[in-house]
Amino acid sequence: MGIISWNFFATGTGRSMTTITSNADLIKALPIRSEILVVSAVIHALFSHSLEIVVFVGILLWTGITPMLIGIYFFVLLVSFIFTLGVGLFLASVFVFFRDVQQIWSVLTRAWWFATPIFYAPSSTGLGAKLSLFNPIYYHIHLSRELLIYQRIPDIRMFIVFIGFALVTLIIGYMIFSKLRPNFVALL
Amino acid sequence: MSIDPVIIVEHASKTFWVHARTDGTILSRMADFLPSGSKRHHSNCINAVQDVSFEVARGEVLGIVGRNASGKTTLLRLIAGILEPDSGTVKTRGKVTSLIELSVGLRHRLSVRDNICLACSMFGMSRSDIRDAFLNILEFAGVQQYVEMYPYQLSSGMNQRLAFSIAIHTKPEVLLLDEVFSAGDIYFQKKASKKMEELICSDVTVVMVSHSIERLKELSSHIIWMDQGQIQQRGDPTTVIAAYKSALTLPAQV
Repeated sequence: MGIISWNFFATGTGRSMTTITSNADLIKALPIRSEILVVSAVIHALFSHSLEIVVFVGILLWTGITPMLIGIYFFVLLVSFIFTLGVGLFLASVFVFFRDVQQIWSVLTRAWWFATPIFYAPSSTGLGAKLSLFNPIYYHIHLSRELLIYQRIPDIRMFIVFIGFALVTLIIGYMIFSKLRPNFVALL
Repeated sequence: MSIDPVIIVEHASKTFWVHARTDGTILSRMADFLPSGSKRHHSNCINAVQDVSFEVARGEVLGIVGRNASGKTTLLRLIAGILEPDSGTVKTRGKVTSLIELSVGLRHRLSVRDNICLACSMFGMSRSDIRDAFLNILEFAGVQQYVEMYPYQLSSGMNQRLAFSIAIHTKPEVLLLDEVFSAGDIYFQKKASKKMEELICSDVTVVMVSHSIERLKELSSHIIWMDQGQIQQRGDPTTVIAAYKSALTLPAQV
């Protein structure tokens, strides 16, 4: 579950980053709202993620687990979509100005990957547990595991913090994107 | 003041900041903070359009001439809504279709059929309008037999013909064209000119940028001569083209 959740974030942000530059001809020639391209990149990642979820649910059913709480999981997925979109908008706009953001992001995501409890369970105490509370991906993975694998309703505070992370990220990402957008045509 | 203006440009200006260093990386910007950095790297301010004002009435055909980097395409992009002016206003009334770069909007991973549907929908056509116009677009571009092929499998001339054909079949009220007279071969250029004359006879407002000044003179009702982002002259085609041509005359020693 951890790797599937991480893949959605990594694919969504990776695709978003290059979507403005790879559609430079469109942006320079047509009056389109360029944020639509970022939304489409994240939806593309969501589609791939949905296929992975179908396979994952199949494995759960095969092992005798019926994911009864999958409806709530779709809500978690929506929040994760908002968070990924916020990061994607930020990366897409900054990448137009600085092309080495791709290399920097790849190093950052590798560090983030190791810091996220993807292949290991987070400790309940200590520095790791405290750091996880500031990691939005941790919330996505934890909530997904609770809902799909352990069939438990997670702590409502986890939902609230995750929604908070997603909304703040989307607002900041969109503000930066809107601020930088008028310069896209000149730089592409 | 024009009667029933559909394009109103009032004191529009657009400036671009171009960094002298073009590799565009965070590392290079950090290098600017080194003792020798600020001397080596600086930004240039380019006033692409400066305090430009004019109106275009419904059904009028406006030609824009000028040397390279005189601000013609930037002005067209301001009218199309691709760029926003730094100061002043640009207003348009009615459905605007822009063909700023030929063959733009054609996605190489989509077939000709899908490209037509996508481009038409991006220009605001309904599904039934696209269905009605589909065969006409193919026929005008002369690519009927390539409908299932992909743009990268066609020649650049075919792509330009297809893009032009899509643009003129979108039932625009305002049509913005940038260097369309170079699309395709001579046969297609004649066909395109004839189609343009038909559009001009209808109620479509056209703004055309081109270096084919004789074609602009034939088709336009007014001409604007742009120079260094400003309107040098505006008036009837014969007068403005004559002035523009005389300004282009090279000194004897060159």
